[in-house]
Amino acid sequence: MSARSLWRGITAQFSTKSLVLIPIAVGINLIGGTLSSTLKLPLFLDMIGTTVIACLSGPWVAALCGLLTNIFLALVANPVYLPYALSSVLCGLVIGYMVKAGLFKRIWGVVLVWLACALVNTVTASLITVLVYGGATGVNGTSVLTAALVVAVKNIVISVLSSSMLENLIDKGITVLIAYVIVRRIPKRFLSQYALDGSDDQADLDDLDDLDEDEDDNEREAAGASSQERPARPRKVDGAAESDCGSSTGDPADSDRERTQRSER
Amino acid sequence: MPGRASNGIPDSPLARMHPMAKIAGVCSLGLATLAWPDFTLGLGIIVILFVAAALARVLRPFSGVMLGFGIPVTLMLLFIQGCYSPRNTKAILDLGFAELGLEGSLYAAKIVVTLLVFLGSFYLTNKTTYMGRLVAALTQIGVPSKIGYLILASLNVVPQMQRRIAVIEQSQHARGLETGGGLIPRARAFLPLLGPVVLSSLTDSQERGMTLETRGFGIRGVRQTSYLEVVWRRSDTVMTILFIVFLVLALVLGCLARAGLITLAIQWGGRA
Repeated sequence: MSARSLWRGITAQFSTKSLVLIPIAVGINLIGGTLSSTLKLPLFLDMIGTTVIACLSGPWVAALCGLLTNIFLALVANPVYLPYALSSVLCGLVIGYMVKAGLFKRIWGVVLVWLACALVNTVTASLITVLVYGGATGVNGTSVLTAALVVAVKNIVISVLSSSMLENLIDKGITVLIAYVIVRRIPKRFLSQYALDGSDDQADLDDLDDLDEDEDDNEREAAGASSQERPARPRKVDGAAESDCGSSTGDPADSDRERTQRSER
Repeated sequence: MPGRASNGIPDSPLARMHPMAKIAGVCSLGLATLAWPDFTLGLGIIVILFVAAALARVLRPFSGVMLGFGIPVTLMLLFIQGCYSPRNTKAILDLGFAELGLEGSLYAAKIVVTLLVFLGSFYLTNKTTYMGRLVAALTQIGVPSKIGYLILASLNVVPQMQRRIAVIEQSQHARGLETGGGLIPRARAFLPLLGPVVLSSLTDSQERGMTLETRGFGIRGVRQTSYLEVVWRRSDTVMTILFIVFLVLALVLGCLARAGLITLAIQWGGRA
């Protein structure tokens, strides 16, 4: 009986609204990857869409989104990415269920999501790299790092694991951070139509005020220094969304201002 | 056979094949290489794949992909497995800081060949198949049409988002956003570029969902028809049977060789 209710819960996540969201999320994943390569950042950032859709539509939609992202990458870029669909799917599930548990509303929860996601990805991706590819895929810089570590520690599994862990901790940290910022910027009018708008979301919407938090802002929150400063600039949620281009350009300036405030303090 | 050349796929026997038969071919060739105890069979298949690529008139991009992936991964794996594999016993080359072991090198060769067979056959399938035909064939064999929609929509949405991001990049440039310079400014430019794309795409998806709903996308209990008809011909049956026979033969021979009943020219490094 519980299995059937679980299945019904899963199929309920796949409404048409969620289904049309999946291609968008796949697109966000790929755009993140291409953007990070055009900006020449040494990262993938190809799970932003999966994280965002995990917050909107639930774990199984996120899992499907991860699967489709890797299928798409295999079709368009390089079939090497296909086996890594497993780690994308698992990450989607883990993030989805952690978001469902309400962890994406508090900073420590976001940190937990980051660590869990990095851990899952490290383990599965390393296993795939070792078992399927024998240690290196040769498609990115991680293979070079692995080769260097192999020379140092003379053990293939350990070096693949550690290079993958380093890469994943940085990459997933930034991914989760960006997804967090994006999800906070999505207007609540939009959020409320998806499966995950639970009853406790109503309380949470009140502190969706300061939408222009930048990365360093979040880091500062993680350090626990945010409570005095956060309600300083309340802002309407919908207004920020309608003028999203404008508020985004305002970002660096805003955070600069905040940083000077902080240094004064 | 209408509309094939217009989809950017040159007409060839491979392009006329049923997509499912091609997928059967990818699985059969790849698994056969995997089951075979050394790298010789895979090498033969790679040569055949190059011939098939020439027949399908995609030889140039095909060899580009094969070499572009094959050479770096061969060097990497030869280095990692050849020098540091735990099963190395016989050294064939002294590099000064490490010795190249025979068993690890053979293992690396086997992995590279298997990867290249999978990659090559997958790439050929992909290059000679119009995605609409593939999805139509998938829904024919019972894959839900929603999954088919998801694949096609993802393929369409991505170029659309890339166009949009080009526009946003220019407008943010006009507003004074720096996308060059050191690592920190480049990283800071990421969010102002990504944010507008994401939010406008999300609002787009709302419209798309309504449009689909009004056209009966979420309807239940009705079998949707397809605009594209994919015909399963006799040659497809023949090819599928050939692929299956090949896979079974390779499995049987591979098992026999591993059990030591017949000997092959080159033994896989893992057994030594």
